[in-house]
Amino acid sequence: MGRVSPDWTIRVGGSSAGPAPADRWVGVDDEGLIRACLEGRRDAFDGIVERHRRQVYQLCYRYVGNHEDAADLAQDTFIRAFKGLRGFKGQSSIATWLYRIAVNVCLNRLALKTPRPEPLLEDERADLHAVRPDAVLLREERAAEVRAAIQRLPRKQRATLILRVYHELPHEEIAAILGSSVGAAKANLFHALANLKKLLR
Amino acid sequence: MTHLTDREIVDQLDGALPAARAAHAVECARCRAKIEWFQESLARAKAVDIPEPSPLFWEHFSERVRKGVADAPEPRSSEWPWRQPAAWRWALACALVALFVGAGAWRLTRNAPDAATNVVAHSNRGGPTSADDRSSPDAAADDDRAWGLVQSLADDVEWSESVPDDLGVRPGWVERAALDLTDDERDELLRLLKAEAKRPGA
Repeated sequence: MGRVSPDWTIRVGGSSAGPAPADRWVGVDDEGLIRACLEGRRDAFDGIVERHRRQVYQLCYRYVGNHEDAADLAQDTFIRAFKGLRGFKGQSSIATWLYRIAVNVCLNRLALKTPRPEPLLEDERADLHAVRPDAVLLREERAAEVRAAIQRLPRKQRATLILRVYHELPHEEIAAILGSSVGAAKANLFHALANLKKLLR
Repeated sequence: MTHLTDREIVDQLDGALPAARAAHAVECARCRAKIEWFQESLARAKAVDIPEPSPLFWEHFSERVRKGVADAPEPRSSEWPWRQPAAWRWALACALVALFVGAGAWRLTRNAPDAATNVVAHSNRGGPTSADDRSSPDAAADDDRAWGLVQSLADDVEWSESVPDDLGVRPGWVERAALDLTDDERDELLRLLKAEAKRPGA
């Protein structure tokens, strides 16, 4: 029996099943993507988004502690990055440059509004009781406590801790992102860890 | 040996503490306890992951960014304008124009008559000297007795009369004439000029 091909295509997330816009730029490095963007190829920015969206989202999530705000902040970060693309001179990696924008976006947003409480703390905890073994439950509870404690740190301590511990940036880059000295970045990390420990007692 | 500072504790956590100080960290119970305390905090922070969003979220996220980028203006520089090549070209052009104008003005000044001639020319106009004129650079020269004489001599020469007789005043002539006078002649000339100056309407 012969196979019959359907005359329709599957659409995922609003786009056709053909090659995603970012796929066209798979073999191109970050520098090439930026050059293409500056030459008017806006779709090249998809490649940058594809490569760095997870890290940027995670940074924002750790900063604000909830998915909705993190998604908004990460989106804002990329749009700002596109608008200021000519300002990127390649003195740092594009990831560091995006982190710098993301931190500024988070700092600005936090200055305007109070972050939402982390939903995992209560609702998800109840679900975990129902379906997961105790060890997993305990680990998730502790993780939620740590995330909540991180959100209670002062803004620069929080940014320093996130960039150093989760994104493993050197102190020099953290200092450049936050506009401070290396010594101040180290001092921020010291106080962030000390405060975190106190909050978790 | 002194205990580890806050920054040295951070260096120790990074494994970047110099050997001599690291040795102290091993020997000193207080510093060792402090480091362990911070290591615990760091380990707890590192152990925490964040919930992974659904795979569909990333598609949706990229689409949102794509729309935002489509609506955004062309990428621009966040640098200061003078760091852009076009700004540099304009600045260079302006600097060159200013240089040429300055050089031209300097050449004109260099070829202009000297100050003494300017005083004579000023005096030839025959106009009364106002109080404001005393504050000009020429005012200092006017205070000098010899210059006063020069000005007075120049005042006596009428341009309209001198031209038909081919008696035009040329640069330096009045100065030379003043220098040729004897002391008595100068004193007399000065007396006459002062009397003239006191006359109403002078």
